[in-house]
Amino acid sequence: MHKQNIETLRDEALRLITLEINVLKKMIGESGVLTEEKSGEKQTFDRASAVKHIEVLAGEQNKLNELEMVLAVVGTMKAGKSTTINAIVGTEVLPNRNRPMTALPTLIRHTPGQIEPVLKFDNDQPIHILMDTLRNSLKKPENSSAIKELARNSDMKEIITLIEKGEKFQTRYKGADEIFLFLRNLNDLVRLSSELKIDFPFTAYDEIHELPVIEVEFAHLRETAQAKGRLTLLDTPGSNESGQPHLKKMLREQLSKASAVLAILDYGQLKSDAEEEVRKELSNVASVTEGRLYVLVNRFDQKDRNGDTEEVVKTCVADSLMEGRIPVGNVYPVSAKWAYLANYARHELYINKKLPNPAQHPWVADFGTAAFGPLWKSKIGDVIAVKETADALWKESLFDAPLEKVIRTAHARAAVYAVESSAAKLVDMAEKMQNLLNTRATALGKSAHELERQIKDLKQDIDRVESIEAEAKLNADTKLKELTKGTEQVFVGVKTHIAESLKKYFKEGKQLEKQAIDSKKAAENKQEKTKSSGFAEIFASLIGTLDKRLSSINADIDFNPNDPVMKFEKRNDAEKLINKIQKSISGIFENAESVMKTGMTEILAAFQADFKTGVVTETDKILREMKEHLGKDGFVMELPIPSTVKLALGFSGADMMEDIVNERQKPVTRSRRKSGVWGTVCGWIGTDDWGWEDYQTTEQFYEIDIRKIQDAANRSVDQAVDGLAEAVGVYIKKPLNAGINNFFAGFKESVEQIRGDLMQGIRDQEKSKVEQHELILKLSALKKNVPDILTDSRELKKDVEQYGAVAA
Amino acid sequence: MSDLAPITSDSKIYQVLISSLPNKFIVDFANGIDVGRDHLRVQRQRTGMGARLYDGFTGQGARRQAEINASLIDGVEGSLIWLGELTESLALSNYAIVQVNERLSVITQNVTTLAHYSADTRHQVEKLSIHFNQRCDQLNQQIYRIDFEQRAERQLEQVFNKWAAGRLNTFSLAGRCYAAMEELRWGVFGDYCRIHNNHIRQGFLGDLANRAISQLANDASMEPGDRSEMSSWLARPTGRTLLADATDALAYLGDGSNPEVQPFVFSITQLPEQTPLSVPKICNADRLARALVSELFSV
Repeated sequence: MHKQNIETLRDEALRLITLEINVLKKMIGESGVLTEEKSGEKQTFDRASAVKHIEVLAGEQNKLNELEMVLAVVGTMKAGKSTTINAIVGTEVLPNRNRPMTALPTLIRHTPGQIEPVLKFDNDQPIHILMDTLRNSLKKPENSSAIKELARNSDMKEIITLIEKGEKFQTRYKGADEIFLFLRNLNDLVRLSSELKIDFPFTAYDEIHELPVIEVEFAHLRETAQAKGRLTLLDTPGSNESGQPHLKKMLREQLSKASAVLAILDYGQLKSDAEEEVRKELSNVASVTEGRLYVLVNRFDQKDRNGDTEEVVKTCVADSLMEGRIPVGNVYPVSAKWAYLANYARHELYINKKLPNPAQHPWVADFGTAAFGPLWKSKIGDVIAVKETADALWKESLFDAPLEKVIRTAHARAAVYAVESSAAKLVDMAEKMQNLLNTRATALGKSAHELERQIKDLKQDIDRVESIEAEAKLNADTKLKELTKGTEQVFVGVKTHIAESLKKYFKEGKQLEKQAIDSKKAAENKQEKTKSSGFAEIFASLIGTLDKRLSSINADIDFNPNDPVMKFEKRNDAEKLINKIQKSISGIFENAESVMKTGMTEILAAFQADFKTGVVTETDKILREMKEHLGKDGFVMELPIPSTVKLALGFSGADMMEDIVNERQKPVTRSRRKSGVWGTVCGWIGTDDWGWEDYQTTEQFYEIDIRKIQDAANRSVDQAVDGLAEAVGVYIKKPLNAGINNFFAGFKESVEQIRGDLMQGIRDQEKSKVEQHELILKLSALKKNVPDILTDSRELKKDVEQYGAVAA
Repeated sequence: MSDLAPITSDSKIYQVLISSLPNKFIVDFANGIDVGRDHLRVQRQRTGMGARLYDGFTGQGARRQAEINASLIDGVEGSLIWLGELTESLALSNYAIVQVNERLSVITQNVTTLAHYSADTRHQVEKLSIHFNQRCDQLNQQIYRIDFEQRAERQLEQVFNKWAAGRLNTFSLAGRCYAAMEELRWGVFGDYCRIHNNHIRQGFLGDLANRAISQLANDASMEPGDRSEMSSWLARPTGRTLLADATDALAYLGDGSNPEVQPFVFSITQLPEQTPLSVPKICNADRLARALVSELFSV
């Protein structure tokens, strides 16, 4: 089997588009072939819709010529995502601040000639509507105390003032500083709306073209020969910043659509506590980006002399961290900082022929130190040396190889998307042209009576299909209800499990508590016995006072098996028990998760199977009958063959479960990650949730309130149940309904259009014999190339599907 | 200078294209006799494959060459004499004879209306016309002979045996298919298809398409539906046993192809840098063979 080059597939798509546009133009040009639009009647093409179809094809042509390569950049917290983006761009477009900045994905588009970055925010309406809503909400008296609290944060105060003043976002921002302010305000807006429990309009920003875009010339691409296409970086919010299912789903969709994905992780994180977290995130990304994922291991410059070699790092990430999910060759240790500084310097040299004053531009000092060492000041004025060293530093940053490879992948992938999209349209259009030309030519040879009978039959076919559709939707609804119910039951089970588990650990804890008290008492007795010996006598009086206090505490920690509060003297003991409890609760959640995953997958599979045996077969039958009654009269039709593929959900049930459970579980699991830093944990989740209180007397001791743990766990479960409906809606209901609609829409539309063509056929017969004869000649001339175009388009569609499947 | 040597019936390329080369040559030659503008077109063909065939048919000897040249420069009359000689010695197909005959009737009309032609020339044309008319009549009768169908089938068989035996391997994949079809078109198979009605013709052409698809796929080591870039179908093979004349010969056979009407033939024979818009960039054996059948055999 010869494998096609994607460039050839693209050329073929372009060829077919030109051919189809030619046929459509001829159809418009020949009088009598296409008619004006008739209300209440759909023809395959009328004069107006043919023009629109030409526009659609021309759009596809553009997309094929100007490939949009979307390179998504994802990064764990502080891994250097912004630095990496700045390094590719060669100037500071994104602020390198130590705070999450991206609430919405942002695009950075390579725009030759655009030296100063410009942010374009044309899709501003949804934000302004949100701001109006927020303004109203801010006015409400019941929110006043919450707002006062929020306004203690200076950023929040600023955005609140902005909203109260009724200020609007602009559609253009010039330069890095303005862009920074825009992004910060946008970010604060997302936070504020979440604090005020007002939905942020994420769905208005879930398509790439709806996002704000920064246009700037990428320094790196200016120098290298550029591939045909337009490179756009997609700066994604880190997972820490994205809470809502909408945002998460949107992110996954964008990642799965991205031409290539660049994941940034920190070399330092590889061997730290964060490793597990990084692993989880990366494996999430990898699950939707198979074959297009590249990992940059950043801060490779910071390894010490005995650090790992490049090879070791590559193998470690590919095999251990990613468990073989990406090839070793897709992992690149780099230094984003060096790359950024080097490219920034080269950019400045290109624009201004020298570096700016280090006093005003601190990055110059960073560059100097990285490039020349501590004595950089003496050399920074030497333009030739700076250029050479910048080049050397860029090389040393190891950025070249991954960048080239990732852009190549992005290019190929972008081409696949463009061809896939064109091929689908090409087939659809060719089928339509074939239908119209055939129907009209055949209709001229039929009696009006025959045509009317066909028209009536087709109406009945449509009615039958509609009743099947209604039934399918009802069935989907029922299945969804089953799904929700089943999941709720699992959560009830989770509650019971947690209660049982806690009972067990409570018992264990109480035992520990008892042991501790017993041994303490024993120790005290011992102490009393040795009281008179040696130096102790000298301190006898002092010990006497101490004893009094000790005994008063002892009264406090006297063992009470029924007290829900467990007291521990040693911090270690308390931590151990808490860890155990957390592990157990996590286990219960994980277990429940897997049960739900299985259940969900089963229900969905059952629905798919039902759909296939029921709906698809029924529709197929109607289709066959239709073809038959049309065929009897000599009408040869191309009808879209309904396929179940269209029904496939973008997300498996498992994906969704992960979202619900992980998120709701957070209050429980977080403390495990940060075990040992209790203060932070309590700060995060609120002391009362966990019942942690330190009593500072002469001794410290620790108590765990089992009731509070139980409450917290149950609250988590309740939250999960609350979120369930929403998640089912976002992940399952919406795509399922869309799939069903899709399945029927194409089919119904085609049949309606054939009916319209037949009605036009009746009108054709009212023309004179001479006109009819001319029309036949015109139709058959137009028809000549259409079967070949249809064949080639269908083959192209198959090719690119296969190509995409192989590439993925 | 092998590519300038005359092509005779002993030449390898002649053996490969045994039906199409001589028949096309005769038709071209007859069409080249332009009584209105004298022999301009004959002169133009003094280079390339046509010229070499011409040299081959007229005999390699320089003596004869000079003689013929002289008579050609003399004008139409020499060409007519030579056409007569040539058609005696070659087994022409019905297709060629009919075309030469058509041309002769045009020439006959012209020489009688144009004053500057001598009585000798008129006599020469008349003689040739009668001769060709007779041959046409004979052929017309042959058509009704019962072995006509068998002969057509036998040619189909022969051509495909030749292809299967690797005798066409000197051409590109698409070129082999084209060469085979040209052989058939100029031969008795083509005669048979042209004479019969749509229904019978479709049967024969369907058979032709199926055999071509299967042989093409076989040569390409692919399934008939497997797609490959058009350039790979058009690429000339490499190797020592290839005939130097192969590309020229196909270019000659397809020199009259119109990129609009016969885009595949045009692409295969003229090897343009850009193939016409209606030729796909990716193609399979099925599509290629069918396109050639419809371009070469559609009436």
